[in-house]
Amino acid sequence: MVDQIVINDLAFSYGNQTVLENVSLRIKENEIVTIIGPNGGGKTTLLRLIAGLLNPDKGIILVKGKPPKHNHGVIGYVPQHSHFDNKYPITVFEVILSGLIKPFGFYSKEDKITTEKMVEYVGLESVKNRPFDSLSGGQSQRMLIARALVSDAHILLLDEPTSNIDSSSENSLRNFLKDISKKLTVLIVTHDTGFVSGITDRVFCVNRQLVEHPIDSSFSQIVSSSYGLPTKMVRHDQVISHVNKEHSGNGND
Amino acid sequence: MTEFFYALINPEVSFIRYALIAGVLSSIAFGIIGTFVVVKKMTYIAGAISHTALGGIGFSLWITSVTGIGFFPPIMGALLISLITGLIISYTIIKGDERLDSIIGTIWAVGMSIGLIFIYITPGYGDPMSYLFGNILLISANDLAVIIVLNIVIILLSVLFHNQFLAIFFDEEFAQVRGVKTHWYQIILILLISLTIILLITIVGIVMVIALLTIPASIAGIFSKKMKVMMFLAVIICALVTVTGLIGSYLLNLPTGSVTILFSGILYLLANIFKFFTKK
Repeated sequence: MVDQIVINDLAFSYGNQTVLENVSLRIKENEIVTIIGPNGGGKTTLLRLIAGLLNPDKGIILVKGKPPKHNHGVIGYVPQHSHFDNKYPITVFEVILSGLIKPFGFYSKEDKITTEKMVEYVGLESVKNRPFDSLSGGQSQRMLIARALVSDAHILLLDEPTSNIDSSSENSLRNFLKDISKKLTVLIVTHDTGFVSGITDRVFCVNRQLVEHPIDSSFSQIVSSSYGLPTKMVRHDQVISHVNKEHSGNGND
Repeated sequence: MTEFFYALINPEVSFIRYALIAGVLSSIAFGIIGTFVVVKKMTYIAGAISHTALGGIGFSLWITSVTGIGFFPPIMGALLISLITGLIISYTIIKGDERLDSIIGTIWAVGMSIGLIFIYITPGYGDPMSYLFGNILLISANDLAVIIVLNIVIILLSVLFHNQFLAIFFDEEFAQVRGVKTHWYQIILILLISLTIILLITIVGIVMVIALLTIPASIAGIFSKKMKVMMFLAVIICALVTVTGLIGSYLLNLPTGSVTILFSGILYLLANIFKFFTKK
């Protein structure tokens, strides 16, 4: 399968503070990949680099063979819900339509028809003319995913998708992501290992550096014990030794 | 009340007609831009731009008095300095490595000080009151022409970029991911705010600009959660308070700007009381 995202020897710093170093990653078509890690470990920064919102200090990021800033239409970005002003006067339909925003000019008739279809696809027809802040957490997440996908995006980037939703909405979102991953690539940044277990193909832990983690029965436990700690105390070697132990135990190495 | 309407059709007091036309026409720009100012929480920026306008007004009065040239009226001085202030604020926001509130506070105070110094050294002119508190009754036919042109520019740009403004101000990062140069729209909005403030200064003056730019839009925000409806309501409310302010000040022989703002404040209070009692 074709690589949708290629990251090679990436490094990024905020001023003197190194956030990411030696990060390499390849994500294939129709994969669901999860990135977990402690607060301040660089998860969201990595997602923002892939979305083209930040420029790497070193290394290469290619999204479908091009730098992210030259491939706007294919990236569907879903930020954390906390980042919105609830008093902003915009309807659900207008939010989803804004996924087709152009640098200049008006929306076309086709844009509105495409948006209507997307509204229907995510099951928000009955609330499409309501203010965006009147939706439940689960509906709100579907609205943001619809906005990300309406431009016919091939890659969906989700930042903490469960931060604002209850457990029943989590199930419905999980099924929805599983369904859409047949058509596109999904990259999820989350603290919620329970949410991604069962749907993710691969899990990576990031705390400055990126380490792949096996998906096994102890996945949630080792991650929460290793990554529930403050950033400075998190040690990748614990995870790596766990990975190696699992691999040798399974006779894979 | 009837004496006001007689004054409106009396050819000898054309300034009442000009004032009414200026108030109603400007309401369109105030309602549209005021809505952006309220939803983007840019009141403090609007305050800084309006107060620095005194610097341009003072400079215009001084240069006109000293050189005798007549092509640099106070409204042009205010326009020039407001646009420069808008560009400085935009640059600060985009660069992002200075404290915006400190820059705004400094620009605000320095602009006013420059204006007061120029007014002080202008021979035969020492009263900045009409600029600080406005005097809609001093609007001339030329001022009206400037107001109409500025109004058209503001409306055209707001309509042309409405979709981009709506999307960017909701989620700037998402628009960037879609390839929209959001900084340019930030600059365009701040320059539109600067133009609108120039219109407002003529009517309510520098000190009270913030009120007329934000109160009608804030009242509209109580009754609507759709941007276009909010703008439409803000335009209607703004026209209502400027017309009632004009009539009230004429009948009570009080300053027009103050009466207009007082009416706006009362309307805002009533709208909030209504919201309190109707909230589910």
